[in-house]
Amino acid sequence: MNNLILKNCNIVNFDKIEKNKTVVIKNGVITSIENSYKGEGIDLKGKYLLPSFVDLHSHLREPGEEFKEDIFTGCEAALSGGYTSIVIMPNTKPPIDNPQSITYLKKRELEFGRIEIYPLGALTKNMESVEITEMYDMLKAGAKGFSDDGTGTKNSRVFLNALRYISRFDSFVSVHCEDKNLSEGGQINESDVSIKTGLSGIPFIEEDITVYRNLKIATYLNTGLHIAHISTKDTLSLIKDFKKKNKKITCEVTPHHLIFDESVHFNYDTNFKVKPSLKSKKDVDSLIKGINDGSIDAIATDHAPHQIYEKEVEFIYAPFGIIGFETSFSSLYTNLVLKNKTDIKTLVKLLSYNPAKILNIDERYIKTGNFANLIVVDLEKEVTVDRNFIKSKSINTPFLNKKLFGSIDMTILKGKIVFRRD
Amino acid sequence: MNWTKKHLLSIEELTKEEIDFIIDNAFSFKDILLRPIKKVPALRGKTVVNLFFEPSTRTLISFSLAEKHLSADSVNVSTKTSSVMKGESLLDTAKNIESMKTDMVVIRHSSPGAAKFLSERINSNVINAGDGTHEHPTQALLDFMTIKEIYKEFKNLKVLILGDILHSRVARSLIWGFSKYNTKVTLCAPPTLMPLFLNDFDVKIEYDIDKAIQDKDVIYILRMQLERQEKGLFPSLREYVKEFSMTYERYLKIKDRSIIMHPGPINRGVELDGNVADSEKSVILDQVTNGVAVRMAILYLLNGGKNE
Repeated sequence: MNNLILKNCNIVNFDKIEKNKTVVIKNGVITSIENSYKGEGIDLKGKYLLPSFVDLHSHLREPGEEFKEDIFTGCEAALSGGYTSIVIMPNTKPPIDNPQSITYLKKRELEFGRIEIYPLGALTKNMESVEITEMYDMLKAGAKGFSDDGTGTKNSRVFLNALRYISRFDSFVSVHCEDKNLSEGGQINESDVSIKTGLSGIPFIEEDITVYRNLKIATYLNTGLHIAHISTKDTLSLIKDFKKKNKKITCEVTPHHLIFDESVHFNYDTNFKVKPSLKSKKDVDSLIKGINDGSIDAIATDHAPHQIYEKEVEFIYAPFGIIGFETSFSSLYTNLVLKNKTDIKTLVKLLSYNPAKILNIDERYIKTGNFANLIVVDLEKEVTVDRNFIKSKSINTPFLNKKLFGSIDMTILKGKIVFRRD
Repeated sequence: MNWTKKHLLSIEELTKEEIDFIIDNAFSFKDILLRPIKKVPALRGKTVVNLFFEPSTRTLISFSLAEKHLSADSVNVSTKTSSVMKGESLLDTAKNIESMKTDMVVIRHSSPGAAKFLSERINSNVINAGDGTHEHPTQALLDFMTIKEIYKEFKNLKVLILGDILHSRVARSLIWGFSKYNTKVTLCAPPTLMPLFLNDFDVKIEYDIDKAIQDKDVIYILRMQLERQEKGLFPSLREYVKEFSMTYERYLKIKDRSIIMHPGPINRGVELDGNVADSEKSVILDQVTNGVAVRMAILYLLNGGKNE
């Protein structure tokens, strides 16, 4: 039968760590957690058992750009990083802006069969910020929510109407906040680094200017809103203010905005070319504070695959974005936890517990009665981020050929082992 | 001193001693330039490719002549659009060229970091002939040579750089270089053409050109690109000329010993009056001559500083 017994593990939930436990799983559900267990089972030898991760932001490139990634390779990458539920963004080619496209993605989810995919539909047709999409039908077809990710909905009236139209449903709306007039032509954050490298700068205020508009509209309508990939201190303080008035506002940050600041650009490495741009050390410090004090709700990868020949070019010609599934936990563990900037419970909260809550899906908490959505992590094991380690079709990561601590050894979806590292 | 660098990518990475060394060598090569027979065998048997992804007349001719005077075999690859647009990447272009067994690559490109990108991926010596808005080291070196020819010392000089600082690779290279000599540098431009974050540089910003030109020993005027107006960075040439151009009227007020410099090509009547360009204080054509000498020195040093 579908039974699984995980012996001798340390359980990490967002609020506590319990040592030397055995987790008994029957038919996908945790039926008991025991202190001393005599029977057969998989001996985890003191490794850590975490609730599996939930990603609020990823790009699987299908349909249209399967040379970068497809549903299958993207899902394998996600599983290898400990993710069993992923939100995928609609800015494919063409964009996911109709119910048929959602149906297609749900069909692909079934074909893959080992992960939960939560597709978002576009807020506006062809993401052009002119007409709103058939959101009701897309929800019926299986959309989890909506986003004009990659661009943002430029027209304020259209954005207000879109939010208002779907306010009657409990859906997840994620907004990419960028003022295109201010960011156009820009390569990196405008600062002494942009001056010295000669790479044209984007004034960082473009982010919170747009966040302000979007939060104002959501609060005016009294609807929820999720702010994607925030990158500045000012954005965070704005969100904190609005959260006092509107409890349904949430936000996310990516691992790379918590680990790197703009000084990495002196090497012109295009694997640091991302949107939003990497900011100052001061911003990074405030984002780390934000994950620790609870003002940032989730860490999302913004997994954005691009082929090596697209990235291995002059800086100004390289596309924005890096992959993130495979290295998300290990990079955060190595660069934040091991440097005492945060702890593993906080990572569990922001990678797993909170995003599940935001999506209103199965609770990510290891306890009797909950689905066994779990990962086994060897915190002492070092992994090398090479072509073999990366399951994605693309290898555009700043961690390429770097070593990281914290190996995801096993990923479990509803009691079934869906990934195991050799 | 012994030259150790394999590439010339920026002024930032050079020490003051290295800059002086290049200039000293350049003066020797200038002597050769002034001879009736200008050829020396320093680079005989070496192949140099001038890879120009941006239109250029002066820099390309200057490098070509420098290579010929040193007896190198050189080819020019000029293309208006980048090879990326044609479907071939810079990396592929460079690897192909190198497969033809070249020794040195001179690259001009619109992307900052393009020269560094090449230097990390091919075996040839790489010379940056201008990478986007990043740096233009050979221009700055020829400028320093020209200044040294006149003033001997940099230390007590007062320098003004006038014009589109924000988009200028020449300005960046000059600022890095002058900072190594502790030269006092003033920048003058409309605020929309001035970088916002200059805290790390010891420069003075002066928006009033009439104040800025007072008691300067060197007035360096940058080329004004007309596309900046289209992008809304200044309202009209008329207003720009009125406020920021080196007019003849302003020229009459500058110090007697002052010199006027410009990296070329000049827009007569825009950033400077035609009469100023042709005036006795203008060293614009000396800069061009020194450009060949400086480039000979760089090619010579990167090749190991030996005669073959």
